Amino acid sequence: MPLILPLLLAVLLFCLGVYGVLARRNAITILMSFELMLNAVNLNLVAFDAWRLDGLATGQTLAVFVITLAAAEIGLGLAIVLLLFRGHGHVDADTARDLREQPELQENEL
Amino acid sequence: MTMTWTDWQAIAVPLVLALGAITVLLADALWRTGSKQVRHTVITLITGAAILFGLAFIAVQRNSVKPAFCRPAVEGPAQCSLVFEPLTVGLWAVLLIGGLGVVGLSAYRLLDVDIPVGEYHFLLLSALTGATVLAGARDLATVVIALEVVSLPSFAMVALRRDRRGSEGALKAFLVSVLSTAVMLFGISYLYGVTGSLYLQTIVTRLPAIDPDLRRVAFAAGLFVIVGFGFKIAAVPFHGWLPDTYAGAPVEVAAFLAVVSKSAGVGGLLVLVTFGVAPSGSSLRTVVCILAALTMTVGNLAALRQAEAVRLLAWSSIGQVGFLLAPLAVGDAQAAVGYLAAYVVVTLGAFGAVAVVQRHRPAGLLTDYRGMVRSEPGLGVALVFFLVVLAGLPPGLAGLFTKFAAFQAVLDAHIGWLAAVMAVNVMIGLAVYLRWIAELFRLPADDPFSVDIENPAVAVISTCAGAAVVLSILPSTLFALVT
Repeated sequence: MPLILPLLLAVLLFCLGVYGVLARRNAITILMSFELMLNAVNLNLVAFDAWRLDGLATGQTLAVFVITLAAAEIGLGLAIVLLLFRGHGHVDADTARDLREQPELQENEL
Repeated sequence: MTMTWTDWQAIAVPLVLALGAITVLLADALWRTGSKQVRHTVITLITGAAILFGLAFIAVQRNSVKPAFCRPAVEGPAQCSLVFEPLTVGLWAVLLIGGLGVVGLSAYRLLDVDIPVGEYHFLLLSALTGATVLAGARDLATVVIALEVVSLPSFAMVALRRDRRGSEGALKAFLVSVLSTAVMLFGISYLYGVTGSLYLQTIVTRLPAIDPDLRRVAFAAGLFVIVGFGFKIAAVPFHGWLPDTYAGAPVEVAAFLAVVSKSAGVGGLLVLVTFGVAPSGSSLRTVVCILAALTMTVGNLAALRQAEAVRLLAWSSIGQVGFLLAPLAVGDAQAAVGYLAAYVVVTLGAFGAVAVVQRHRPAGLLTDYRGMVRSEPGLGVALVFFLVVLAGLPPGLAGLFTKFAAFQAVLDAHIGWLAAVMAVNVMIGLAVYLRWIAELFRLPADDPFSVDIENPAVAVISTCAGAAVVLSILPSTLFALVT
């Protein structure tokens, strides 16, 4: 198989993930988009590994690490989303705005 | 592969920190008898002992070079994953001192009552483990894993109070950080593709010799890696999460983020820029210069408008990172580590003072500090000194000399426009900190701030103040960290 095919698929997956992160507001969907991006990375790594054949299987090793890392990130992410749901009653990343800067305070100060 | 004695020595400090983390967690889970005060003190002591071991180790071994986890290369010197050398010593000293200060600020009665003690110290030590590994890492896989080991516990710490503000702050930081990790890994996968290795040392030798068609891919890959780090250290334009996260986190955790997480990110970027991804003369260094100029300008300008103490410190830390990126972009490790050390000491002190005031006046406005030099002279004068060092004014000579060294590094590299931006930003920075200092001296409208300050807070703040005074008298110690 030519190297270009898996690389193209990886770019497609990555762009899909970026779109999901930027356009979606539901925190769970954003987490799923991260998974897409990380899997694009895995595909790249494994494809380059098969192309390079450097005898160390560096790409495959890093891919295993990335899978573990993704699991850890999603575990923590779901815990934080759950906490957000308990406090706010929704999992919408854009409408959680308790912390935004309050301009009226700044005008009094100046 | 068998581990040699050198390997064990090089990972001794991260290993002891990790073992300390597990000990703390187990001690808190299994030992349920005894008063809260005793349990908290014991956990603080275990955490402190693990960090002190690290400081003692680097004090003894500061002149040695220990390449660890090496494999012989086909051509050239052996490829190593973790190296203990003078740069590592300097970064570890900064990170461990910062960690120790945060442990002091989280002593009994200082730590927010809603925060579970064992978990907090466990997460703190885990993040420190990752930070120390990151400072010594010399291959990209180790860099990524270590960076995640720093980041993930930090977000858990932000949300550890389990309230609305904490969860929102943690979510913002988490989403940005995971995005940056994915972007960075994508860049790393292409770097691996074009160079065929993850060892920084091999990448730096192979990058100039690659196929000209692949040169643009290599540049984009390096850019992705630097952008990923830009998110982590909150360089403008990737800084949006930082002020909200600092404001949502408990003050001790905000101090941890400002001191340990930030130093770890800067240390990792320093390792990457000087050893691998952006060799001298690479156009990626120009990208870091532009990031530095943007970061210090936006950070300082936004800090001018803040009315809350923590938010002002958050924006000012963005501005300070801009100054840090300037010597980093020209590859001057000595100036960067010296700046980082001075920043860590005074930021710890400033956050300590803010924590004391915020415990009694939760609004955390700058007006709460009005008249503090008169009503609470010790704390007030110490805070004024920290702010003076951050601004780089005399008598805060530590700040002045480190800013000067950063200037010198940029001028030596003949980047005149960046030096000009830095000069303008020193002026804006003065205005930022002088506003707060003026509040401290102003006559109070109603009853001024006056409390009994807890002993551990007094100890940490006066140690920071003492260290800042010593560093102002002997600024050469800052630059001796990296020889």
